[in-house]
Amino acid sequence: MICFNCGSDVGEEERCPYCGANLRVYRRILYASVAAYNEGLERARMRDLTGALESLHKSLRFDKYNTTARNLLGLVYYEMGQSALALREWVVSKNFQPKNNPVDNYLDEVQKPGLLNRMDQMTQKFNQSLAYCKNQSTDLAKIQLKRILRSNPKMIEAYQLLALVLMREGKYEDARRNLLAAAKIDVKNPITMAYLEETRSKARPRRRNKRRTAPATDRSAALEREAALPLPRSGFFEILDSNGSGLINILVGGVLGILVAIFLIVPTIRQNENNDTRNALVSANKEAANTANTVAGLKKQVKELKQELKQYTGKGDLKTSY
Amino acid sequence: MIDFDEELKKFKPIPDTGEVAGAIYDRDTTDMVDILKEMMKEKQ
Repeated sequence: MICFNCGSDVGEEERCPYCGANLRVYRRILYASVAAYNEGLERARMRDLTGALESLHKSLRFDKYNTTARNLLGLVYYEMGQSALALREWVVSKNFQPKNNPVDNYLDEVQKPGLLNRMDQMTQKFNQSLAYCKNQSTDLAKIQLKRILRSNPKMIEAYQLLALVLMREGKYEDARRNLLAAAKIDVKNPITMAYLEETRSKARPRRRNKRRTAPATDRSAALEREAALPLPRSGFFEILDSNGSGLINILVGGVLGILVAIFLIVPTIRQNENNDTRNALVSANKEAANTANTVAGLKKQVKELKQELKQYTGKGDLKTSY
Repeated sequence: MIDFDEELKKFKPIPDTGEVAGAIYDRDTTDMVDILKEMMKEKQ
C-alpha cells in the first residue's frame, strides 16, 4: 500500500513509518469506497440507475481515485441519456489514471465522428423543450420531445417531461406509456414512480374506491413495492397497449371469432337443417297418406266391379237366348 | 395531485459537451482522504 500522505510504500503497516499517518483509517475509507462501488454495481445490474448513481457518488466521496467507480458512474449517466455528465466522469477518470484505464474504450466510442454533435443536438432540443414548457407552449414541447425520443430512446428526462405535459392535457394513458418506457431504463426513478402513481389514480377512476380502502399512510411503501420488482410491472391492459401487442390482438380476435362461430352460427345452421328435414318428412307423410287413400278407393272400385260381374255370370249371351 | 408548474421547476437544463470543461473544473472532488490529510495537517 502507498501512504496517502507521503506516497511511500508501506506494505501492511497500520501507521506510516515515514510520516506517521494513520493508515488504518485510510484502509477503512478505501474499503468503504469499494463496498459502495459494489453496491452501485449491483444496483446498475438490477436497472436501478438512480440507486446506482447514489452508491457510486458515495464511493467517490470516500475515494475520488476509485477510477472503476468513476468509469461506472459515467456509464450510468450515458445510459440515462446524460452524455455530457458521462463525458465529464470519463475525462476525470482518464486524468487520475492515464495508463491502463478501461475508460479509453468509452472515450474512443464517444469521440466517433458525428456522435458528439448528435448528443449535443439532443441536449439542445431537450433544453428548448423545457423552455417551451415554461413559456406554456406545450404543443411545441411535445413535438420536440417526441423527436428526441425517436433519436435517443433512453433519455429518461425526456420521457418524464413528455409525461408531465401529457398529464397536464389529461392524456393519462399516453403519459403512462411513456413512463413505463422510462421505468424500463431506470426501474426505481422516484419521479417516474411518482408520475406513474398519478396516472394510475387518474386513468382508472373506477378503482379509486377500492384503493381508498387500502391504508393511505405509506405512499412511499407503496412506491417501494412498485419499485421492488427488477422490471416494471405490466398488467394485462399495459401488455395490450404496448408496441408489440398487434399479434396478440389478432390472436385474441381470432379465438373470439371461432367461439362466436361455435356457439352462435353452427347451432343456427343445424336448426335450419333440422327444419328442412322435418318439412320434407311431413310432405312425404302427406304423399304417402294420399297414395294410401287412392289405393283404398281403387280397391273399393275393384270390389264393386267384381260384385257387378257376379250378377252377369251364367246368363249367357243375349243373342242366343231366343 | 401533481402540479405541472411545481414539477417543471425540478427539471434543469442539461449541460452539453461544450460545457464539460467547465463542469470538470467547477466540480468539487474533495473526498474523505483529503479530509484525513487536512486533519493530519491540523494535528501537526
